[in-house]
Amino acid sequence: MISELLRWLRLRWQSLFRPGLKEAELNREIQLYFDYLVQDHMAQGMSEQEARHAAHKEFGTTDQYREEVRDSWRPALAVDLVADFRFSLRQLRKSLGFATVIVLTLAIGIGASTAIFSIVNSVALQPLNYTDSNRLIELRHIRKIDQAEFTPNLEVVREFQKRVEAFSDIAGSTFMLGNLTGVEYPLRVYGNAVTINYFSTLGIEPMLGRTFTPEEEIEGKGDVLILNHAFWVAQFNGNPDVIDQVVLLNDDPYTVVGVMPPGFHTEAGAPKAFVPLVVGPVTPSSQFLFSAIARLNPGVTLEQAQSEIDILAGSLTQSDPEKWQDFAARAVPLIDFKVGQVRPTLFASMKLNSITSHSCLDSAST
Amino acid sequence: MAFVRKELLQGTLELLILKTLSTAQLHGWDLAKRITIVSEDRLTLKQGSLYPALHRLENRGWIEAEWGVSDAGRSAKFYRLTRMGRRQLTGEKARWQEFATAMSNVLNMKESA
Repeated sequence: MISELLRWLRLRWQSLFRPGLKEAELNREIQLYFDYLVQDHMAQGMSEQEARHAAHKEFGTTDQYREEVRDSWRPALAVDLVADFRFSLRQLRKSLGFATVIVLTLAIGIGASTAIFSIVNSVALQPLNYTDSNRLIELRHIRKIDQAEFTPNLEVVREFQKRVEAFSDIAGSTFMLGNLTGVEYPLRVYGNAVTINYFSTLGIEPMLGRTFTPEEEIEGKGDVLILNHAFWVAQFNGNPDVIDQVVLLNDDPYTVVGVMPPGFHTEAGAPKAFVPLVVGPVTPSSQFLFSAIARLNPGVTLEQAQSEIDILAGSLTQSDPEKWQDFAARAVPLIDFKVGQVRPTLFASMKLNSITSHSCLDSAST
Repeated sequence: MAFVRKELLQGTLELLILKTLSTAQLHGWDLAKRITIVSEDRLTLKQGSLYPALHRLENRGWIEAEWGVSDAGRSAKFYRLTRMGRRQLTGEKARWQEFATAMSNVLNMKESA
């Protein structure tokens, strides 16, 4: 069955795109027949010249049969397509409202799949381009009573940073939204506010300038900005003199201190810029994070890290039962975490696709 | 009438080719020759009807072709039946035999004196 399909496709392909080849083959084929015919006549006692003459006569002067052969090569497919297309146009004109619904269905279906694919692509399909990304884990806060899962707050991150020996470092990040002014084209900036060790935990070096320093997480010192590569190119024309330039973010002056390398993306996609996560008077326990990433020390397995986490969670609960009641944490390999988050979206997109195509097919057949 | 006749003949020609190719893999000349011999010279296929029919059948996927070397040592395009062609042959053959039986029955009615 497959081989038949392949042969059929090859024939179609040849007749559509290589008509010369088919023509040459036909000539060879017919020449052979002609030569056999000449031989046949000679076998019946004709001279070669007479035989050729007779054969030519038999072939006649018209090439009508060649035209018939060529007709059979002409793919019925293309002809059918044109006819189908005309027919659908007539049908669509007859029922404009219906046509609009169909076109909208297609547009939404295609648009949604494209949008979903770009998310899937940026989050799951692009490999984690961090140093030794297999040693990165995402830390999750577990509410024991119902096993509900959250991102830990900054206080948890700080505790784990101090006390978990399996981690060489642990960093947190959250969303930042600002209006960038004081530049040629003011615009809204979706960025990340990150702990000062964020880039070193991921193992990413800036392409230009530097990353954040420890004092920049102190309130009043955090007015520094790191640009992501694409944003630097789009907004600052890729100008290296951008370092030390002052821009206004929400009307506050920020100094550009670094530019990240191309292709750097975080768990939230590709933010345009980064600012330090300033601790200040805001107590760390109320600091919302959307991601807490830790790096395992060399030679430490996920299981070892998890058992250390369990012990720490237990001792925290013991030290302050009211505050740490119901607290547990889990280490998830970063890659699993990212792909795991995307998997339902992927399924949803596939379902959406099949629903839209089904409805289109259904409507087409009515 | 002429149209019906042509259709009938074309169908018959295709059946002849399918049946003959079910016995062996053949190039155009040998195929025509074999039909002539088996029909005891009653049926002769000329290139003018043979090649259009072969290419039509190939295009429909009932037969397939492969370049090989003929007895005379020349490169020749050999045709053979595909699985689809074999199914087609079975159906067409049954239809033709039914038609032949029907015709035969009618033609063999006893005539009045």
